[in-house]
Amino acid sequence: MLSSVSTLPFMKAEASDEELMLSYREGDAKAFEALYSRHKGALYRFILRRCGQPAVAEELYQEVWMKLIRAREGYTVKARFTTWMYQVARNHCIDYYRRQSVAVINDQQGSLGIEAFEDQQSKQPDQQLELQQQTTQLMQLVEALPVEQREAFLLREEAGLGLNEIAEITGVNPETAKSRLRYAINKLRAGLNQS
Amino acid sequence: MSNDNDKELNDYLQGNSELSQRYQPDKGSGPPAHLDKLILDAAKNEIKPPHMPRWTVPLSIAAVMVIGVGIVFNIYREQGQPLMTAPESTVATKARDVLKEQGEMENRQQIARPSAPAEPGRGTSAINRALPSLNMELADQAAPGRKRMIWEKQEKKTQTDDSQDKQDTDVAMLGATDTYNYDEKTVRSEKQPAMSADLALDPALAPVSVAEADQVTADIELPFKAMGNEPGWSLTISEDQIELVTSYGQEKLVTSTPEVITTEAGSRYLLSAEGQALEITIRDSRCRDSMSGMPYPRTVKVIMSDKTLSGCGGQSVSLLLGDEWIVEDIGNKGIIDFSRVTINFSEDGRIHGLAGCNQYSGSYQISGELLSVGLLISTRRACPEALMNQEAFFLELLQLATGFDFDEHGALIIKTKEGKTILIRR
Repeated sequence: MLSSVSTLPFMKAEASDEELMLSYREGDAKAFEALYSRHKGALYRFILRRCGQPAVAEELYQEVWMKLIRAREGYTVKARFTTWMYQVARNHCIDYYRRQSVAVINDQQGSLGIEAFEDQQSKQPDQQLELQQQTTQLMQLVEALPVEQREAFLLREEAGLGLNEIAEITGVNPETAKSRLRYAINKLRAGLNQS
Repeated sequence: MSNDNDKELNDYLQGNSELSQRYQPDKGSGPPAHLDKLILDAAKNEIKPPHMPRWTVPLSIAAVMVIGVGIVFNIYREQGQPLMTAPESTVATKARDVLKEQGEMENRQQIARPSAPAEPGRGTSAINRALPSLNMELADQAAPGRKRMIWEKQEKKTQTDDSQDKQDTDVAMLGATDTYNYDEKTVRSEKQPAMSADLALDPALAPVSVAEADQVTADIELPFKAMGNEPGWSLTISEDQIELVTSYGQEKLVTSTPEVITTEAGSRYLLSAEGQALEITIRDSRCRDSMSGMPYPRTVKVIMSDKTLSGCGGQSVSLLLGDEWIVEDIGNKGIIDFSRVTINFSEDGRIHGLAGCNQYSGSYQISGELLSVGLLISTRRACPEALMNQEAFFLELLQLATGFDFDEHGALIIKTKEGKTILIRR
């Protein structure tokens, strides 16, 4: 059943992410290329805006794909590919800051400590300057959102995910995801109206 | 208002919002081209090694099965053994009697596993440790055997007609797969009455019986060190030699380590050196050094021809390791109701726990007479003020730890620089 995907080339164009990943598992490199070009922009921007400066984002972006590549052999369809991919990305991002931080250890009730730390990180002055020069007004507003809200917004805009998937990726219930997203868009609107 | 918000959110989620449209132009940027190439190349390389032919999969599964079954089989056999070495084991006792009659009394362990292959020793116990769940299963399986043996003992007491002339051991009841054959007289469980079935169904006894058996045969960890005061003496027992230094280091006695005699009361070494007989008794009971006040896990007595030395032995740290400690009092101020403050000491020198609100961790060290705690770090959650205050006080005291002791009720007291204490209990 699975191999039929790779033997029918016309299906490639519409093949789902999961089908492409299964084809790649069976040894089809073209399937991976298709998958990669489908997601590269959104994933990169998610990491860049969720996790910080370009140098870090590039490193993390590469790590995430490497992880997906290495997971090839054991891949089975358990969840949507995008959900899995963004989960991996988010975890790498959190791990990165955990490695960086010495004084904050993870707190089982959620990663509030880590996130607070990340926010501190993203407010370093030279980075602020860089962002002001490079990004539009909306992007500045996005950058200014608290990390949970920013994350929810990016998963919606970049990855095109629904509330349930955002909730799953960020490890909260859908109501929480909903309220984070609501806060995010309200703040962004308010910020745009002000100017 | 929340309706308005929901409507706005729904519009947004349906993609009808100006916000999404304005975000669009920002979507331009992507990863640099060199990353694209790097990742796609890595993806190709990953599939380069040819796929394993399909037949290797069942083959490797088969190989794993063979090894796995072998390990399980060995553990299974091993696991049966403590049950048999337990002093109450009817079969083992019986077999010993038989052998005694035949004048070939050997040590009990050998009897207990007559057909066990090469010394199982540490290797197997490592496997046992690595497979705790499996061990539980095995203990469960072994349990009925033990129950039945207990029952048999009762039966034998009531059965005065000694009818076991030439009977075989019911091997299965011992929870071991080997064929044990104790020559002439052995116990046989013939048809079990309903009573034994009842006993066999009681699951509670299984882990207990195994643990009991382990305790009886528990070795002292070598090299074992002990010391005492007035006059100061020290004792070191290593694999091959025992060194006893007495009279504040003026007299030294070295001899090879004899076989340890393990009894329920503890371990005993009988030795003779330089013309005098010595007896070293190591009891598994908590001990406090009379000079430093440092607690130790074992009480040691050395009986010599002209004097008896008393002291403490073992590693102090072993008293701290293991289960989590619950804090009951901080600096004589009590503890806020329902707040949970805990301490865990681990073998790798880490200390961690819950400080009431946040989690903390750090390192600790025991050197000589001192317990010291390194810089503690904690999470930064906010809690009600009273709890935060208690937490700060606790962490401050713990940071200042200098030593520990046990009170008469078995609670552990962590002593700090300014004479303040933290009382903890398991």
